[in-house]
Amino acid sequence: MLFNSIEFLFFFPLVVWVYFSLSHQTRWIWLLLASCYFYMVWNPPYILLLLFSSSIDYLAALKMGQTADKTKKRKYLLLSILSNLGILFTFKYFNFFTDNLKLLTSSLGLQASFPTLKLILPLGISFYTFQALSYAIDVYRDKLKPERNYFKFALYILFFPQLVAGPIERSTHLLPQFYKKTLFDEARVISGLRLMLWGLFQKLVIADNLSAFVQAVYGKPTAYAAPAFILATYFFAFQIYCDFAGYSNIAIGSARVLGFDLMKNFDRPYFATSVTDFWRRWHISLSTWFKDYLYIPLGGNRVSIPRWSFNILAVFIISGLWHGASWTFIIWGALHGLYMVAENILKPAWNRLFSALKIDTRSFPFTAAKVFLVFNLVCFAWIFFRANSLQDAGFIAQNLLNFHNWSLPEFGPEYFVLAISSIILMEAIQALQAYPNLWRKFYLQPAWLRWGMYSAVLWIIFLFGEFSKRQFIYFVF
Amino acid sequence: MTKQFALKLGAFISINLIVLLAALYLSSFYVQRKPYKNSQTDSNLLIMPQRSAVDLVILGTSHGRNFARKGNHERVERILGQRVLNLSVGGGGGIIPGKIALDTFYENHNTTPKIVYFIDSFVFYSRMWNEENDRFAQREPFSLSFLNRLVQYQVDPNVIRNYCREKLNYKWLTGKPDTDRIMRKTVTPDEVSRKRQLEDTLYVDKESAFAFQRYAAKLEELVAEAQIHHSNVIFVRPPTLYGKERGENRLLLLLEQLKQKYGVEVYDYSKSMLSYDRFYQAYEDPVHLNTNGVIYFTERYLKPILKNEKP
Repeated sequence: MLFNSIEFLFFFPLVVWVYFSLSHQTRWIWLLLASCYFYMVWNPPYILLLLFSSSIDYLAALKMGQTADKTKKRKYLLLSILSNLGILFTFKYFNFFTDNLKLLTSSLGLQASFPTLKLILPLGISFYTFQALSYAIDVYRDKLKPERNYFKFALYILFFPQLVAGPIERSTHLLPQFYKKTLFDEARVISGLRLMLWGLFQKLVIADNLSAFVQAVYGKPTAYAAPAFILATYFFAFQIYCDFAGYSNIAIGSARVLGFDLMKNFDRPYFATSVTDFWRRWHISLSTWFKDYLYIPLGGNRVSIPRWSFNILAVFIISGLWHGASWTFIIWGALHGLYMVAENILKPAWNRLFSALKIDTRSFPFTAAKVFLVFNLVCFAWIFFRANSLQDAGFIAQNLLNFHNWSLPEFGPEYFVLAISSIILMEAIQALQAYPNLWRKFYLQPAWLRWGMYSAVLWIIFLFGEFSKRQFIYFVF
Repeated sequence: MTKQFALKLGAFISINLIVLLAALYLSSFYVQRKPYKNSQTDSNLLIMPQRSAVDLVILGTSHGRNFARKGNHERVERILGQRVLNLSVGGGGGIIPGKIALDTFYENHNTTPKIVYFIDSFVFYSRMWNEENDRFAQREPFSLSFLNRLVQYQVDPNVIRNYCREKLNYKWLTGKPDTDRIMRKTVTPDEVSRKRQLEDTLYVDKESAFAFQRYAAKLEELVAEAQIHHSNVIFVRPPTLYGKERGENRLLLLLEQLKQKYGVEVYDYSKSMLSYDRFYQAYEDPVHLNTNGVIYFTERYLKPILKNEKP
């Protein structure tokens, strides 16, 4: 089920109403049933795959909890990791792997045939796999006691607000919340609804409107040159941000209405002043996952500079592959890895240079210049993320400064007015988030003014939103 | 959930709904005051009479709508010597949009002895031309009865949303009656060569027998409804430069069955104006007649049919 569908408009109030009508002891059962239904609307049989993989994680964790023997524990952890990654590999990477093997063997002049699987990629598989893995690893590390109730564990994996596109929750954060008694708290419910409304604005008004222009350019790049590529790439930067942050806000908001706290997934990423800073603000639940379960076990930054650079590159390349089984995603990840390595190596030299030149690095123009530079570096990497193929990405990157053709896809001036003004509005509101006192003042305003503002956002969504049931981009990851 | 919160939320939703309804009615009232004629708009509700008896109703897709557009409506009325109401739905109006148009016609206590239905094969094969066709509803002014009808026919929620939203669109509000009085454009050989492209657009979901049966049943409901209101349905397959349509055998069989069961008349003129050299001046594109074509077809085929003469 999509958050931006009519079905969800009926589903969610019903879930909330029944949830708060039930006793505390039975609420989680209702949530589990609702979550199963939420997933089954997409493809009913695939719920079995989810239940199967979560059963293995549940049993492996139970066994880990029953023994103090590290070797045995490691075996159960391995069982959990292999089952999760095995399913992920089969559904998501098998064909990519065999396709590349085919290319490799044919380039070596060998004749070999490899099977191709015709499988539908389970919705949100990368998200719930990582969530399950974090649980198994945390139990292995004794950070968490294994959950004894299978159905509560299943709810941790299936919890509908974050099931298909995160935030990738940690078991230490989410599981205990299923035991807590939540009362109906009007302020919290309104705050959740407000976040959902903001998420819908980001998704329907900004992301889905921008996607038409982006698709027109990236769908046929040979027809265009630099002006179209630059505009489409900038638009895509906001499209993907609003799509994913919009989804995350609806997810966090709907969980909040039900009394659950999900982790923050975005923190105004395009205000980042360095690539490292960008990754502290973008898809926070994934980047912290990689940090905790891959980067630090690899040695993190407490190693030699070459090894540190290797760790960063490895994490980012795997992160690229996590997004999709394609070389474009791998290059996107590698680019970010290279940015970070370069940033880390050059940072001391830059600092010396700026202090020698007596440049105030805290001044507004300097900060703005850094934000602009980081934004453009991120946008360059987005080209590889968005392009339909490596050839297309190469073509766009090569022609990024080729101004021989000024043609743009045919969109009326009102389209650009709407697109650009909605981006400015969003960024302005986000810039104001840096001033919490201002928001506190807003919440103290009379009810008619606050509810009037909510109505205004609703009306903007109704009048300018694009409602063609576009999937969230991250659903396919 | 506290009652107080439920009340607040209820009040918030109600106030917004009331404001929305008021805005929709106001904008519709404003547009309905403009003097639209059948030949000047593709909207059916803007020109729908009340308690009127018309000699002929035309239904169908854009193939039928071209018999009204740009002054063609007055030409057709003049040639036939009859009062005509063209309720065809341009933009691929399928069986369901056609049924909704006819329902509204009867609901307004109108009568007609004859209905000419320009029938196409492609409309039986996709929700896109039926439940998901949002273009026909967007043109209509807001009314709760029309909204209720859309809900009854289980159209896609997007159709309902776009129906409402369009009423607040600047372009809809400032639209004017079309004053262009002739369709001059003639088809080019290049356009004729793009048959495959056109078919891919029209048959987006391929030719599923299941979908056909579903919309065939709706068409039968339409015929039965017309009979209840003492209207005879005359099915006419419109001429095109391509002649044969995909899935036409299934359509012809259905029309034959309706003929046996309800006594409807069926005329297949799909291949009557095939030659490009002879008829290119009668088409605006390979499948739509222009003003020349409408005049020719009305004189040569439609008039004799309605007079029960052999064309």
